[in-house]
Amino acid sequence: MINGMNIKLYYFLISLVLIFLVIVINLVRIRKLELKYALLWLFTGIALFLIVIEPAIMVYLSKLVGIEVPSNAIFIIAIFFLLLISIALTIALSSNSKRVKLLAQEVAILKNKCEAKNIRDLEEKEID
Amino acid sequence: MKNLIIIPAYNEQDNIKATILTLNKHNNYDILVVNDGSTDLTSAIVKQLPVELINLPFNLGIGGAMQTGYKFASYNDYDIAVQFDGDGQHNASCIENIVSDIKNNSADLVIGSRFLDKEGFQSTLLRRMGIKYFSKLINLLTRQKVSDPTSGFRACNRKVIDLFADIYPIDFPEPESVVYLVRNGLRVREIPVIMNERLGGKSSIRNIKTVFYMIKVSLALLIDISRKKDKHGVAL
Repeated sequence: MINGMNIKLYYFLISLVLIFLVIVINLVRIRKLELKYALLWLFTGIALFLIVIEPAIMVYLSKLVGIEVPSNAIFIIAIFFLLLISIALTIALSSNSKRVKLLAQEVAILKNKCEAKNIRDLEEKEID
Repeated sequence: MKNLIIIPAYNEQDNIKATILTLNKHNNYDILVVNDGSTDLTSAIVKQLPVELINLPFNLGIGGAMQTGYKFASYNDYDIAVQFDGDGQHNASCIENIVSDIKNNSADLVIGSRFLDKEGFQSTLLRRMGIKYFSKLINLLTRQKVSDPTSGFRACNRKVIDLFADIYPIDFPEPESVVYLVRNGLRVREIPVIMNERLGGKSSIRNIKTVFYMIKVSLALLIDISRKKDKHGVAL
């Protein structure tokens, strides 16, 4: 905790982060979220937790990149991080739509094969 | 009794044929090769052999490929399914030993362990340490003793086939599936087997990603143990 930080704010932020982590873990538990994708959010939650209990990390980081006010550094980092996540999500989405297209084509071709076979079987029966 | 050997194969063109031929020499179980979107000649080679072949349209990873095999086993009413690697690591002569505990109904899942008798290829030191860690963690979480939780040489009965057809972990399924079964009250047992060094190809667990893999699987195990059976006693 940083000197002069409001103790209420401190506990409020910690609870927020903890609630976030509990929600993510519970989503994995009930199999609504794959662990693979949850890992990112878990690590984000842990990083947020560390920053809340030790805001000096943010002060250090902002000095490192030459930003005067740590809160501005938070905004920059957060925006950049969210940008990266959106790109990662769009990549995952693209690969998914490619896979759906492939599946649709495979199913359609299979269906065509099955129907062709059914017609052949029917014709053979008529000949018999 | 209908028995099926499931071989998940991803780019195994160098070993798959030899593996299948030795399997045929040892027993007359049906063999299913699940080709997990290989980009080499795996599919063409397997097509010429007297085995069932499922070609996945793209790479699903080991979990998705194995689950395809369990689904096939479930739909086709197999009593026993054996998981067997396509890379020459596993010994076909050990299959009868693994299957016998399933046949006499003293276990639901039998794992072939290379560490029980410490015979054959023992893997590298680093990997052995990782496996030991998972073994300890699983023991801590479930009280189940498993010396080789990452072993992909295993056999299971109909009950487990149906469970796996429904729910099977995706990325590194072997350790997690043990916790999943024990948590749902199924009997897991280990018997000693002799493994060979892989003939070719690469293990699905690479060195650089090892730490990430350990963290991820540990988390997966911890989260799985916190899951409970639902009200109807159906596995979750």
